[in-house]
Amino acid sequence: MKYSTNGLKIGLALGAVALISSGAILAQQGKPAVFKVGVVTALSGDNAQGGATTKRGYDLWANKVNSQGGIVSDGKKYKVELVYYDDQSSGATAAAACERMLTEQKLDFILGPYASSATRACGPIVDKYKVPMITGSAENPAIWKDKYKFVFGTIPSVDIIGAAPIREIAKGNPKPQSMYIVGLDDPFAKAGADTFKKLAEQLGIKVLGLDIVPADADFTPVFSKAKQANADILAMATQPEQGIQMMKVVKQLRINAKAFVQHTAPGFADFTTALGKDAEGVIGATVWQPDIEYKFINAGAWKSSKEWFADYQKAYNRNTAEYTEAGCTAAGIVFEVAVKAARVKPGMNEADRIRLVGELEKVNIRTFYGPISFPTSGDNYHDNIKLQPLPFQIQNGRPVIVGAKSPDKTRLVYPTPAWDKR
Amino acid sequence: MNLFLQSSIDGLLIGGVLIVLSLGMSLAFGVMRIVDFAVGEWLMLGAFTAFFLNSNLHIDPLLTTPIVFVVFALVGFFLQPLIEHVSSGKRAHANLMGLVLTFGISQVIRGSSLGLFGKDNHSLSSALTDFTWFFGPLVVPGARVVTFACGLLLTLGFLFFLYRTPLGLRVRMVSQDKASASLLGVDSSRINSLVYALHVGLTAVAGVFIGLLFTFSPEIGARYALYTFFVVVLGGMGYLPGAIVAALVLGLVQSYVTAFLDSRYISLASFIILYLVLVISPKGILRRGLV
Repeated sequence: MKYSTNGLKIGLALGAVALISSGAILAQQGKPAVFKVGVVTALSGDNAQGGATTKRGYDLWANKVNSQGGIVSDGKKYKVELVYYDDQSSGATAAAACERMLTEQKLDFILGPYASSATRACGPIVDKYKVPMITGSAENPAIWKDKYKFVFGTIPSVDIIGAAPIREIAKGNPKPQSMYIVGLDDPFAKAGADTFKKLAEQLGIKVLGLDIVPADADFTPVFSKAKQANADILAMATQPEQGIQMMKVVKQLRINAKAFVQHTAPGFADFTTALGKDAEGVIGATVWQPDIEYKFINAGAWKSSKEWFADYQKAYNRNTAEYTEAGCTAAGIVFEVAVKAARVKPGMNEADRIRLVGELEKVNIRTFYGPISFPTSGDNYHDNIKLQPLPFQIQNGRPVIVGAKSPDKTRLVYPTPAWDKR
Repeated sequence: MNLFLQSSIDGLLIGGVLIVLSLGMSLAFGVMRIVDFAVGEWLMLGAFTAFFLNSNLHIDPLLTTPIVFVVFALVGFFLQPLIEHVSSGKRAHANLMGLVLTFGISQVIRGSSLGLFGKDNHSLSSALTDFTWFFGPLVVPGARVVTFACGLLLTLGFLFFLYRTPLGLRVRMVSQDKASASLLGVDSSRINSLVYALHVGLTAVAGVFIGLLFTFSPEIGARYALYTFFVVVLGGMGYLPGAIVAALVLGLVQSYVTAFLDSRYISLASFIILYLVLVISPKGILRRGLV
């Protein structure tokens, strides 16, 4: 009896696949239960740097929790396993990655993207699959107006944060009379530009121009226009990469505004390393810095910002931490608290996850990052607006909080010295 | 009027950098008939090389350009035989294979760079460009003038080489008719290696200019690859004077659209122009490119 050679080969191949698969399944069954946490963020593309900040924050949390045995729930400890999916800095890809992640993996919860566009894209998907997501990053207010039941955020929206530097500058002497605004063409930056405009008008500061530019444009022409406007405040709503480019152009054109405001680049480490002394005097907004300490911390492994920052420096060998990183770690802490309260176990079903969302809505904690709770109505639905927005300024190469809430009462340097006087 | 003049200055100056970026690519296509998908990555590596030379050896970034050119020209010279092996010969869809290979090279470079250099943004600054000229209300940034001037010198040098030297003549012979050039004793493989070396070297130098004017990270390659393709196609594939004109056109379009319309229409305006030019003249803006 002759056997078909091809048939034999196919049979052997199928047998090998079955053997390997069953081995993998057996290996999985032998592993202890872990909370499987999906993370969709920008691991590549234009927002890769921002995505890296979220990854550092999330990884720091996961590593800390696992080093202490895991999340406590119903008297047992369960470790966490982060599963990353790349949104490639695109909202459309974020949606596809989120859908793929939720269908390929059996996830307990999700830690959210860097970018607002990606977060909004994931919103309807996590609601569809009923898997809660907390983002430690996205700031576009439209996310919260969408009112997705399963989406939460630890950072206040940009219309709250972005107001802080403008209010501080408005107290300056001489009082600023005019503002020129340049914003990137992305949802977060446009919301930031809009915040600057509305607040300027409220404070009686005349807005001389508002330009929205694509992220990959050459900024010289638009800032040439801004220079001709000669406004007292030059406000830029931008992302980290473009923030550096914009200040380079500002210097190249020798634009001597009384104040330069940017959200959100100045808080990133590469802003000061790339610009050097040209970063001096730039004013930004934050909700947290490593030198801000909260009392009565009742959640999370870190009992102070100093403790978190020490772990951060040890893990990543970096000397500046941005509030997004802390906000992402805080997102993990929030899940810890909610999981413990809901007494759920890894491998949650839909009912468990709905219960988890109920507990997330009840969260009212104080962490090293600050107070966290999530409103269940209004325009900031599920957005943590308990944090205070704070203005900071780059002084002597470092971002320092300025104004009334400065821990060491540092004052704003205003007006900024002209370029040829620095 | 001031805004028009300022926009014209801004557009021409940035066009100068785009010329350097696209010349090598245009020549590479004209001679080797391949589209190098790795063009953006060579630019990125050029910027990083200048960055490391500046950080570790304290060489002014502008003064690193000869070193960057030589290093990357050598890289291109030794890499080209692999590209030639894949994109020529008797294999099916040889040109497509060459395209796929250069795409693969670009992805390897990009991925490796993300791992080696991280995702932070970097910038170059040079003491030689830290000035600004004022002509009444008009502002001419030093960085732009210097990079434009360097770009112009490189372009003139390159054109001199191509049109006034025996080696340049051989390059043009291979570009026009490889078979006939071979019959006349021109080693086309060697010429291809030289051309690719020039392309990679020039593109890396353009990366130094980009680093001086903007920022760079391992992710910038795709963006500049798009600009380069745009300029090369608009100028006429393989036609160098066309690439020069197209680069200046792109710079001016970006500038005028920003000044007088809205920056968000830059891509729309640019691609409408490209579309119209290709419909009217498939050989490019000066009607001399390869179809």
